[in-house]
Amino acid sequence: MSWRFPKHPLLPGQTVTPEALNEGVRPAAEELSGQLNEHNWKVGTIPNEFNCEPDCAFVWHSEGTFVNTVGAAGAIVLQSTHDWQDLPGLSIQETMPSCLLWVHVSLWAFPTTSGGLLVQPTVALAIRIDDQLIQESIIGGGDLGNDEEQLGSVRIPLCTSIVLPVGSGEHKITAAFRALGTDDDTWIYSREIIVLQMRR
Amino acid sequence: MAEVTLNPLDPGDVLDASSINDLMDGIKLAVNDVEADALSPGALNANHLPSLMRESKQVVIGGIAPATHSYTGMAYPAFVAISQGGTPLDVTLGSSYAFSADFGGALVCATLSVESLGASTFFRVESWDGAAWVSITRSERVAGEGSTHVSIRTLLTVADHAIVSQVRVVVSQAFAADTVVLRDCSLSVLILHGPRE
Repeated sequence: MSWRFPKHPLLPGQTVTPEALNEGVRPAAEELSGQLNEHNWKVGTIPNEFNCEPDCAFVWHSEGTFVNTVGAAGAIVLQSTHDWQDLPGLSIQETMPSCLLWVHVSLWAFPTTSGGLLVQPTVALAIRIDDQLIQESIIGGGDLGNDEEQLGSVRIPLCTSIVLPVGSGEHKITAAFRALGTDDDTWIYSREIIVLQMRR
Repeated sequence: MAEVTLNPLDPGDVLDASSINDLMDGIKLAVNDVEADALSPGALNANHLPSLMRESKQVVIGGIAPATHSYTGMAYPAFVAISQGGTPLDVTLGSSYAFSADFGGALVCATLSVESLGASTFFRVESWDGAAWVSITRSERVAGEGSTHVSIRTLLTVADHAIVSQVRVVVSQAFAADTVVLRDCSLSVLILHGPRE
């Protein structure tokens, strides 16, 4: 609730009228919201971070895996398709308050056949929030009709990030991948997803 | 909060202590009933709160010729530290931070610009645990011909080791005879007050 100077302050010798008194009080009554705002707290009220709850402003979530061998446990194998595929193990699902989310996805991909021959597909990486692909997070081509050139190499390190506001409730943040231009598989090796809730 | 009751004075009312008090009482009762923890969104801002970012530090090395830097003679899984002109790609924080209930993760961001690579070049983040460099294996990224840059994002946690004080990036390759040439490289570490859940 903000403080306001009375509209009609009482001065010595002034005739007091009901209208002036009402006008002096009504703004204060209208300001009352039942909540305290920034004007009701002294500067430096909370001097030290250790006076704050641990999760008052930032909360981290992360999942990551180390894999560096073809066919090893934990490696993800994806077939070439026009569809985006969610990556297992790169998923965060949490109930959170209304906040900004800062999401990072980092991994490397290795396209190969089961016979060990190397091919060069075109790949793309993106972030999904609540099953919605975030277009601004796409690394590689977003529109197959317009973007003929996507990322292509024999070993492909990829990284993308996004900052997005979300409402309070449960949210699911995942990494999605697409590989095109080969009849063979693309392997996803070491990878990590990091999500930071920014609550203030 | 109690309901706000405004009892305005009407023309012709007697103006005395009782009528003025009656005008104010409805507001006074409501104000006195507001609870100390009834905060509107954004009530506490930078004027009231301390900074909850404990530390943020970045190191940038290298560039285009003559500031490129080369590495050869190492073969996976042997790694060497990245440095240019005697400056390592290494962030030393102002303090050692022990992971706890209110410090759950240290975000590490590495971005490496590549001039040329061998058949397979491996990059990893390492963190100093007070006695030795610990390899953060999930941060390993492999690049081959055609890659122009490598970005690594990893969150250090208590599962890696108990404290974080110093972070660096290391490089290796499949064949010792290959040569890796890097350009500008940056390494950032962000320490925030907050748990990992």
